[in-house]
Amino acid sequence: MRLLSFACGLLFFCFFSDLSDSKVIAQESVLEAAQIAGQVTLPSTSTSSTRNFRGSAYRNRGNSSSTSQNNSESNPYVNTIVSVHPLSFSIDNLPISDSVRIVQENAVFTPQVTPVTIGSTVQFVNNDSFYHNVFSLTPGARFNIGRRPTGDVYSKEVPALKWKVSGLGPIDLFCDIHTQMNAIILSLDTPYFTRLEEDGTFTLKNLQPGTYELRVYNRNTELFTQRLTLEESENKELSLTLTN
Amino acid sequence: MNKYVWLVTLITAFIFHTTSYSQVQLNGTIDFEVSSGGSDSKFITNGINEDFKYLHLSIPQINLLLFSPINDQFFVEARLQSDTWGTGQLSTPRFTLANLTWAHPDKNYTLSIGRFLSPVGIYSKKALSIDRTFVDLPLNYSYFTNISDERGFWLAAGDNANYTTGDVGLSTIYLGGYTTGILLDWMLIEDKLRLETSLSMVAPASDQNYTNLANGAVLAHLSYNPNIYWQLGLSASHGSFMQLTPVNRIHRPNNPLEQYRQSLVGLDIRYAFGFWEVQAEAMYAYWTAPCYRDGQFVLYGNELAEYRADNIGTNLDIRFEPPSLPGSYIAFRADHLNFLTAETDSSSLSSDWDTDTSRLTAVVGYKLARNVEAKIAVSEQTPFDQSLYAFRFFVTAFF
Repeated sequence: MRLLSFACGLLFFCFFSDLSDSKVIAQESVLEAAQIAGQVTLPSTSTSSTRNFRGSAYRNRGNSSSTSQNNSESNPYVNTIVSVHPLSFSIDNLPISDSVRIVQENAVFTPQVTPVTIGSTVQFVNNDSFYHNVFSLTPGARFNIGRRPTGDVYSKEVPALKWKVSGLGPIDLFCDIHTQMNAIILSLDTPYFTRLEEDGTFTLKNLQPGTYELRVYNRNTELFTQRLTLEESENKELSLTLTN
Repeated sequence: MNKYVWLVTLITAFIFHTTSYSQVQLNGTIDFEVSSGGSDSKFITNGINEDFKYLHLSIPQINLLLFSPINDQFFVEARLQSDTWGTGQLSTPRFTLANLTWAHPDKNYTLSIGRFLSPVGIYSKKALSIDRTFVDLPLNYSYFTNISDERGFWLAAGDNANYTTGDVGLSTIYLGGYTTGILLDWMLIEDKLRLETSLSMVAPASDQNYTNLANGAVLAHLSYNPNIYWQLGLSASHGSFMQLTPVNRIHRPNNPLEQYRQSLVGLDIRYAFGFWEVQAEAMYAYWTAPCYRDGQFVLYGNELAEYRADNIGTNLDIRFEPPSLPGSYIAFRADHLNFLTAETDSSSLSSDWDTDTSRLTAVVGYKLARNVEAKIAVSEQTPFDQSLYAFRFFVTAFF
C-alpha cells in the first residue's frame, strides 16, 4: 500500500511538474514573442482603378494588372502581402492550409493575390453562371483545370476544385475564356505573412526573436525587401514606401 | 493622301487626348507564319497566295490596338492594321476598326458608332488570330464566291486577279469581320439572351468601309444560353452590297444598283465541357445581282438582268485540350460550302455556279506564354489531290 501510494504520488508529481513546465514555456513564448506593425504606402498609379467596359472588342485581353479590374477589391492595398522570412533560424514544420479559396465571380478572381504556405491546397470556385477556366503557365506549376461549370444552377454538381500549390514564388493564374482575368498565388516558405488592410496598415504577431527578411509584394510595384532583427517582446513599427 | 491626313489627325487627337484627359491604352498583335500551299494555291480559295506557295516566312499581320475611356460611359476603340491579305507584302496600315461606344455602367445595352465587329457570324467576333483556335477561317468567310460587288454574278470572278489588286468576288461574310454603321448590343437577360444588331452601310459580304451608293443593311445576332454548357445563336441580315465603279457606272442611270441584295440566315451552336469544345455554324446566303458575262453586263433592253443565286456553308469545329499538357490543344474542322441554284426570270442556270468545296483542317496549338501562342495547321480541300493543301506554322503574340 505504501508502495502504491508512493507510485501514485510520483505520477501526480510528474504530471503536474510537466504541466507547470509547459506553462512556463508557454508563458516564456508569449513573453518572447515580438510583433511588427506598419503602414505601407503604394505609388499613386497603383491605387487607380478603371472599369471594364462591355462592348470593347480587344481591350479586355490587354488588361494585365489589377489596376484595370472592376471589382470590390480594386483597392490595391488588400492585394498587397507582407511576409517575413526567418534568416537566423529555420522552420521545420510549415503549417499547411487546406481550404484556401479563390473565387471566380463577375469574371474576376477574388482575391487577386492569395498567399499560402508551400504545400497548401487552394480551391478554385466558379460562382458565375458561365464557364470559367483556370490555367497557369508558371514553370513548375503549369496546370489547366478546363472549363468548370458552377454558378447558381450547377453549384451542387461541381465540387470545389483543389490544386496543391508547389514551388516557391508567384504562380500566375489566368482564365482562358475571359482573357482579362488574372490572379496570383504566392507560395511562401514562411508562416508569417498577412494581407494589408484597406488603409495600408498591417500587423504581424507572435514572431520569434531573430533576423528576418521582410518582403512586401504588390504586383504593380517592385518587390520591397528589408532585413530586420527582432528582440524579445519587441514591437517594431515600420513605415514602408513602395515604388514602381 | 486623305487617308494619311486622317491617320495623322486621329493619332494627334489621341495624343492630345492622352495628355489632356485620360489614358490611351495601347496594345498590339503580331503574327509570324511559315507556310506553303499546293500547286493551285490562291488566297481566295485556300488562303495561300499563288506567288507564295513555296515554303516561306512572312509577317502576315501586325496590329496596333487603341483603347481610351473618355469617362465612365464613353470609350473610343481603334485597330490600326497592316496585313498581307492577298499579297505577300504588308499593306499600308489602315484603320479596320474605329468606333465610339456608349456603355453606361448601369445599363444592359451599349451603343457604338463607327466601324465595329459585325454582329453576323460567330467567327466575326474573333478578329484577332490569338483568339482563334484555327489559323484560317471557315469557308463562309474565306472562300470567295462568283459574286462581285462590281460586276454582280460573274462566273470568272477570281480567275484574273488577286485579292486587294482586282475584282475577285466576295466571300459570303467579310473575312475581316467588320461592318460600319450603328450597333446596339443589348443583354436582354443577363448571361442568357443577348441581341446584337446594327444598321450598316453594306451587307456582311462587303469588305468596304464606305459606300458610294444609297446602300444599307440590317444585321443581327441573337444568342441564347439555355444553360452553362450550350450556346445557341441565330444570325440574320439583309442589305445591299454593290459599289459604283468604272465597270458598272455606265449602267447606273437606268439601274439602281442598290436593289441588289444579300440576305443571310445563320445558325450557330457551341457545346463545351471540361477540356472539350464543339462549335458549329451554318450560314445560308441568298443573293440578287446583275450578271457579267463575256466582258459585259447582261441586259434586257436598258435594264440589267437580275440573277438570283444561293449558297449554304457549314462547319464543325472540335477542340480538345490535353490536361496532361497545359497550354496545348488539338482541333479539327470539317467545312463545306455548297452552291445551290442560280436563276433569272428567263432561265435557270446550272446549280454549280461556283465550285462546291469541302475542307478538312487539323491544328495543334501551344501557349508559349499567356499571350504567345504557336500553331501548326494543315488543311486539304476539294479536289483533295494536294493541289490546294495548305501548311502553316504560325506564331501569334499579343502585347
